Amino acid sequence: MIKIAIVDDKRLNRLDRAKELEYNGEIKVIFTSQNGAEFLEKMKETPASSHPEIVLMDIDMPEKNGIDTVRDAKVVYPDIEFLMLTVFDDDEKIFEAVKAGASGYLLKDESSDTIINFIKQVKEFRTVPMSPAIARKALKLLTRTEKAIVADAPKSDLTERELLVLKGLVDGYDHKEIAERLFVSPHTVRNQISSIYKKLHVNGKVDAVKIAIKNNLL
Amino acid sequence: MRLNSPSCQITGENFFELKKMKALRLFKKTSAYFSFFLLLLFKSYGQSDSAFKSKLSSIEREKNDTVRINSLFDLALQSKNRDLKEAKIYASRAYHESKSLDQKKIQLKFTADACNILGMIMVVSGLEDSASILFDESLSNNLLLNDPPAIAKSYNNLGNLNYYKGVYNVALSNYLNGLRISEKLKDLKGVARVADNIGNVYYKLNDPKSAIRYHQLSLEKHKLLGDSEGVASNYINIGLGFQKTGEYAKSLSLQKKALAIYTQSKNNLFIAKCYNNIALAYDEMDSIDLALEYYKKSLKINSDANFVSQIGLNQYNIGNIYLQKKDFVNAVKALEASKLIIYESSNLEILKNIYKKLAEANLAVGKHAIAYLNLAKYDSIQSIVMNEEVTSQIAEMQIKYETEKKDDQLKIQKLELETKEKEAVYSKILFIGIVTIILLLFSFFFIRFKSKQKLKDEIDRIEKENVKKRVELETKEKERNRISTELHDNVGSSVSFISSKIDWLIKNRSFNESEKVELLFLKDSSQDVMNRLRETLWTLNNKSISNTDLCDKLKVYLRKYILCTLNITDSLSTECILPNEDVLAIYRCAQEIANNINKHSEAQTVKIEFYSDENTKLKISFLDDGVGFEEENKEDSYGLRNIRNRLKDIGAKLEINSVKGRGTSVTIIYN
Repeated sequence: MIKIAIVDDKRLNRLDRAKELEYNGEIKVIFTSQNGAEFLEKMKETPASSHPEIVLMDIDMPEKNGIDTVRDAKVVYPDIEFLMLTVFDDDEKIFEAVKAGASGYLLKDESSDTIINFIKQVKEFRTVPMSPAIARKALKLLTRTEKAIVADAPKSDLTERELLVLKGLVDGYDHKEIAERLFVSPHTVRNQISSIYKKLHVNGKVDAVKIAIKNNLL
Repeated sequence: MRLNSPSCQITGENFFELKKMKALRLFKKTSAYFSFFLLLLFKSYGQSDSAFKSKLSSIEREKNDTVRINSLFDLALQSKNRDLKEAKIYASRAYHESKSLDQKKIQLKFTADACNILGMIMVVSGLEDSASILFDESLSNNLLLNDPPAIAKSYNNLGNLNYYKGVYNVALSNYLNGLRISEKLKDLKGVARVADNIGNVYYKLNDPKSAIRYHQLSLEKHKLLGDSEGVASNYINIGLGFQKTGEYAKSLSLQKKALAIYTQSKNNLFIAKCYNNIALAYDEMDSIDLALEYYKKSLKINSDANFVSQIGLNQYNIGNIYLQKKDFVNAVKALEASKLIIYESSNLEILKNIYKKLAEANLAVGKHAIAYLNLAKYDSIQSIVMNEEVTSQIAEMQIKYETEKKDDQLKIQKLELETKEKEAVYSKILFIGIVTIILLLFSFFFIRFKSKQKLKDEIDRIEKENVKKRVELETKEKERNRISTELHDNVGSSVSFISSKIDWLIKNRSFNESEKVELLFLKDSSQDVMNRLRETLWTLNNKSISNTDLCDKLKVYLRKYILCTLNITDSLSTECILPNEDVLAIYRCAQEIANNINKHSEAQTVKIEFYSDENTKLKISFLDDGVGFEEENKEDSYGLRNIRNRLKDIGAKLEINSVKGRGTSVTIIYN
């Protein structure tokens, strides 16, 4: 049983999604919240033993949006994985969410099977596949760091392998096809994708700190 | 304050006080003595009148110019101490006659001498300004003649004049010039005299040490000359210097040395002075009784010889001593005696003090009324003296100012001449220039005004258009955002909910086959609606979509949609923003091509390449290994024509190559 939580401002999405996901008995929805602030409150009230392992997080919500919630929650609960749920694949917002610490994204109109499949992947590999658009943005950001334009950023250069994987993702291949082309196991590619996510998150953290300094939060 | 008697060798020392008489006259007006004084003056002029006329006529008979002028000099010098008016007439006559002498050198020489004599008389008459001009003329003549002894003399005269005027700094520089020349000439007498004068200036400038130094220099020379009276006079002056530095014992011994010399030469005036100065020293040393004794000795000699002014000073000093001894009756007596004499000699400074002391003494003996009167007189003199000081300061400043003014005037005159010449030319140029400039400005402003008007109209027109456009754009933008938000928030999530709900139903509920087909069809339709909506929103929402964004989206779509094996190559080397309408057009065309591949090509693999470079914004090529077609048959098919037209609208091209049985290549080229 994978323990999850659902954060969405649409009641139907919350409740029906929960019912659908729990139907096969592989998923247990610990709680649902209608926005980020409520989610963080509920997390405080919940004992650590019954924390969700994975959270499905809507991006556009009133009070506290999904990106900010992930950014804050990742600091307090680094072990919880966040999957962004969105109606439209707005690359810019998704990429922000990834930098904030999200492990990937899902379209809301995906079937429950697909969503459950994604949840399982995240639980197993701590990552889900990356779309070409996100991969391209990751490539830009991480190679820009490599060129040391962001001088004070933590060292997050891509390894040569990661670079190849990322380029494969940009071209539109999934991890299995990339594994074939690079003559490695799909598992290795998944690990590399996971590593890329982490590096993005590290970069996102730098941005987060910068934003915090700008807003006098530190 | 105590009085001393410096033995200045400057001639006419007493006449210096004449200047002060001007001020005193004011004071004397209120006094009964005034008429008596005038009477005396008048009498003296009257007496000399006849003698003067006979002397003048005897001189006029002399034919030789230089001899005649020389005798005029003699007469002037003789009468100087007796009758100033007469002396002035002789001297001015000598001056004018000297000026009209033919021979240049002799003329200069005689004029210089005449200037000296006349100047001296002017000084004595209190006409210092005239004297100053005369002495200046003398100096410049002597400089022209290059006659050092005469130059030294001129400097000395100027020094004396400035000394009288109280302009001690100028006097000092005059004397120092004189001293330099005398030293060069090895003129012992001259050096002794000038050094003595310099000593006196320093004494007045309250620099007793320098005064002593110069008096000692003078003393040295007098000793060499064997001039015992000179030596004695130096002793007195050095002694007075020490008196000022507070070295009273030294002063005393020097005064006694001088006394010894004067006693030998039986010079009673100076013996008396020495006694007075010795008394001064004792006074300072607080030996009041000894001081009194010496003052009395001095008084006795002066009284015997009838040196009136000295008697006044003695009495004043004696009065002071009595005041110190608190013997007020004797003090009043002595001071009253001194008052009468000093009053005549017009020494305001001393007179003032006498009144003050008298007031003091009378107050002590209880004569308050008299004390008050004296104090009032003291006060009135005080104000006169004060005025005098201010006047002398002003005079000093005026001298400085006038020398500067003379130089400036010369410069100004020169400049004025030059400028007047230039001005004539300039004013002509200026006039032409101004007229031209006015004309130019006028035409410039006229043209500017015209073009501005035009420009303004144009700007107004454009501005209005811009505003209109902006409003239109803003309305469009607002409308766009409203639609987009509506689709996104409500339609989108509802459709996606329907879609996933149908999916869930199919999987988790049991339906018969026909129902299942219906449901699957519903699911596909809702999915399709969702996809279309997503794509429309994408182009509606995003302000700027780049060629890479478009390709990334296409990759996801094609991978999902094309059924055979895909081989995608990303060769995008440039990134650029495309218009949203163009993006949607290309996207739809790519979808249509993918649809054709699925439906008709029967391909195993499809190679897709995305390409861009500096010249090509985007090129997407699809190469399949399918059945191909004969172009003339397929070219007109609805799908292809539709694609071609849509691309044409956005300025893009479609290239199709197909060989029957060998596959097809379709390329979208967008520049």
